[in-house]
Amino acid sequence: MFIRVAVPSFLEELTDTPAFDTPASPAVDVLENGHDTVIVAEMPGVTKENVSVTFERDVLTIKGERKPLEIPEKARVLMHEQQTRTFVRSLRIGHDVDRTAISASLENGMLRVVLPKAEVAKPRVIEVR
Amino acid sequence: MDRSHAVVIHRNGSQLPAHRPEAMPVVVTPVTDLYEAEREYVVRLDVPGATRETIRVEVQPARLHVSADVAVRTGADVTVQHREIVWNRFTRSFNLGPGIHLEGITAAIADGVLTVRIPKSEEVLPRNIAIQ
Repeated sequence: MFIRVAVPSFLEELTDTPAFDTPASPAVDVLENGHDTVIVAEMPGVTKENVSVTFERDVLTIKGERKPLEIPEKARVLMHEQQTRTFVRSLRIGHDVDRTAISASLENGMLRVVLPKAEVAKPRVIEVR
Repeated sequence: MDRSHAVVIHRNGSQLPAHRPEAMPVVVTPVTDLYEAEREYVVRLDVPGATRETIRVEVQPARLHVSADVAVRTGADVTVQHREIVWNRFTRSFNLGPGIHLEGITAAIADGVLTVRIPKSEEVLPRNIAIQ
C-alpha cells in the first residue's frame, strides 16, 4: 500500500525536476551568398515574444524559450519527449558584419537571422586590364 | 569551397559535412508529447518548418499517421557553409485503440508544433448514474 502511494509522487518529482530545463542547442544551418550570411535554427514552439538575437563583437547568440505543455489535472502522461524549454546557441561569424542591418524573423518554429556582410567582407571582382 | 568567410560553429567541437545530397528525402521522427485527459488524448509533435499546407494528418480506423514536408532552404546563389537540419520530412504513426471518436479528431499547427486532439467515444467516458 505504501509503495502504491510513493511511486507516483516520486515520478511527479522526477518530471518537475529542473533537469528538464537544461538548455538545448538547436540544430542550425549556415548559408552564405555574396552579400549575407544566413543562420537558420529550429525552434519549435517558440514565439516572437520569447526569442532573442544578440550580436556582440563577432559572436551571434540566439536564444528562444518555449512554454511547457499545459497538462490538465488528473491527466496521464503517456509520452514525454519534449524536454527542451530553452534553446540557446552562439556562433562566431568569421567576417565583418554590417551590424546596423542585421535582421531576424521567426516563422513556423524556424528562426532565420540575416547578417549582411560589411563592405570590406563582400567579394570584389577585379577587372583584368 | 571558398573558406575565406568560414563560420566556426561551437557545438561540442564537432562539425558535420557542409554538403549532403538533397535529392532524397531524409525522414525524421518528430519529438512528441502525449497525454490522456478525462475526455480526450492530446498529442503534440515538434515539426519546425512545417505549415498548414505541408502537413498531413491521416486517420485510419486503428491508426493515426502524421507527415510533414519541410522546404529545403537553399537558393541558386547560396553556398551551404554548415548543415545540421538535414531532414526534410517528418513522419510518425500512432495506434488508435478502441473507444475513440474518430470523426471528432482535430489538428492545429502553430509555431512549428502540431497539436492533435483525439476525443474518446461516448461509450468509454465516465458516466454518472442518477440515484432514483
